[in-house]
Amino acid sequence: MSDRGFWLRVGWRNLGRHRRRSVLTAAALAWGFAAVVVLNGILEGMGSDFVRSSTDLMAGQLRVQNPDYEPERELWDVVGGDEGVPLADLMGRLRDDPDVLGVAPRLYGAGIVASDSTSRGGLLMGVVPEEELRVTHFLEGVVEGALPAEGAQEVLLGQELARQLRTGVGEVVVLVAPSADGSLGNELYTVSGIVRTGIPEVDAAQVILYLDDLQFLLALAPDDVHEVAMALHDPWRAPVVAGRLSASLADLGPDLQVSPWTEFRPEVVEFANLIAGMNWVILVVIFLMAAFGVANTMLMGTFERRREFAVVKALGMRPTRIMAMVVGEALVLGLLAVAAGALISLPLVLLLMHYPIDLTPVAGEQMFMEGLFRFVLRVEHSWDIPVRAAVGLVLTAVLAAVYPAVRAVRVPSAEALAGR
Amino acid sequence: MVLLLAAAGAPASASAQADAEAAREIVRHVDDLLRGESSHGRVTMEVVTERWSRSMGMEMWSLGQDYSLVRVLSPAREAGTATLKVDRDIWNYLPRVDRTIKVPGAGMGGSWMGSHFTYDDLVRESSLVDDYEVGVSFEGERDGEEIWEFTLVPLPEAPVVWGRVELEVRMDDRMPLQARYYDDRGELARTMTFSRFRTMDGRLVPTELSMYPEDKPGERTTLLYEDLEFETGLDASFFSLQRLRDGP
Repeated sequence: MSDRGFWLRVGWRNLGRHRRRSVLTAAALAWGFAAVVVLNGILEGMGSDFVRSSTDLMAGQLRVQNPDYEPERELWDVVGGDEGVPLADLMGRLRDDPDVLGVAPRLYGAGIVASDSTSRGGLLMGVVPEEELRVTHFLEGVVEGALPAEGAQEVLLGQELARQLRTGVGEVVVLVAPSADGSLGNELYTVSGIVRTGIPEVDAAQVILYLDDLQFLLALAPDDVHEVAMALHDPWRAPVVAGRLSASLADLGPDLQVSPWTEFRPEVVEFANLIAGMNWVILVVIFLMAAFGVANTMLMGTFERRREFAVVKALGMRPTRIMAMVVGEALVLGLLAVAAGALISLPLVLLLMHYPIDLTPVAGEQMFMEGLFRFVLRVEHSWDIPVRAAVGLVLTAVLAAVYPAVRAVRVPSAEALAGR
Repeated sequence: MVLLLAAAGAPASASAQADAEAAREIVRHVDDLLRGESSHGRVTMEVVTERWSRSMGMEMWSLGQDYSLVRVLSPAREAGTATLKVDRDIWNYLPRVDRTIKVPGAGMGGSWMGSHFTYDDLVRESSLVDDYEVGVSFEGERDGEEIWEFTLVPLPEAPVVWGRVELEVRMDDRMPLQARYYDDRGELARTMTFSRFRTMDGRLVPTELSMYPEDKPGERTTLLYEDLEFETGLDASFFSLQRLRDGP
């Protein structure tokens, strides 16, 4: 039997001497553990939902652009620059990456959209709908009609824009936009559908049309796109994948840049970091409270056993052994608490993982940074949370036992034995 | 419409409270020179950008500050495209789709006919008139010409976009030479030059106006007036949506 195992056994026995008190303390610790695991899991779930929704909705998790495109967004700063790149090749190469889930080419412009009765400023977006649907969700918000069809001169309008234009499915609108050659592009289109993305700025201004149709309106060539957006299996791998793709696309020239959402949506990263920070705060606050409970229990335990400590000291036990005895007791208490805490939290975690509690009917949902922030109690499965909580709990118990242990060592033998 | 665009270069009358009565008088002269009560003319607009250059022939009519109409004559592909301004509203007629479209508020910052002027520039002129205080900031010889340089500073409550405008006027014939527009941080935003002074319809006017946007080095929009007549006797009813579509 190893020395460490021996002290654990002694710890276990000592706990048994005041069973009720030990159980209560362990229960407090177990409850702390469960609270940390469930709360952190819920926050992690919210953060992850948010990261996903704010990149999946419209932005994409990875994108290829001409490095000169942002922030001026000049029409001619297309992917690949003046020489251009064959779009089909580029998309094929991006699709071949094992991390990439979908690849969607996009073209942007700004202009005026006019119905028979009135006109509004419009943000024009040229997409290939079937590709876009593999990357983002905003086209799923069609509330009326259908997506624009290829070669049909059709547009999909944001819901609020359509309302302001007093137009609807089947009606004709005019798009007027300064084109890349300096002329004023203007064409007639049929409204194929109305879309509601939930992003107010988008719903009030977005005009979505087939990529080829927008290229024609803006006097651009068929391979000209401003962006190729991608969705990934795991959003958090975006920086790694961006680096790999940058290297593998280097032969296509300098006018092509791959960037991950962590770069072009830094505010989302900050938000995710904020959530991670809150998780630590919860952990520290809860275990700090638990630490005082453990310290109190251990202090009482050592005080009651002053005479015992005095005897073993008088018999020549070394101070480190006495400390090990007390700390070992706390360690056993901590391990018991972890086991109990796991038993409490496991069903809760599993429940919230598979049957999230949707609080949006009471709390509502917030459109925030292009993401939908919803109050849904859903636990995101992640092993580091329970591990972190377990380590935190055991450390708490052990550290809380240090002071009582020191007190135990310092028990003056003669006085304690004399009953003073 | 001469005035429409020229006004961007001839910033305005001075405020009534200005101390320098003479300065105000000269600026007012420059202003009136390019405004006239009404006008009609032909102009070629050259736009040079980093990416492309183009030239458009246009016919223009104006009445006071509130009404103007511009029709594109060439190139053929865009002939018939027209812009009508009435007060603060602007409509475009697009022959290709045969539609008249009012420029919406959100579209007013957009480029007018691919030039470096925005729709806002076209409608903003009238608000400049009473919004600046005029001071003489230089008087004497510069680049071989005797000039005055006026500095126009917006009055406190004035709804203007510029932080300051500097206007150079030649002394001998009171022709404007250059106007420099500074943003509210005091940085030069655009420069307008006036040249090729000709007598048109009995009036000496600059017939070449160029605008150089500071944020796009090497780019410019130039207006070359080929003929101009003033006090044409047109009235407000000329500037109608029907005229916009069908021409004069």
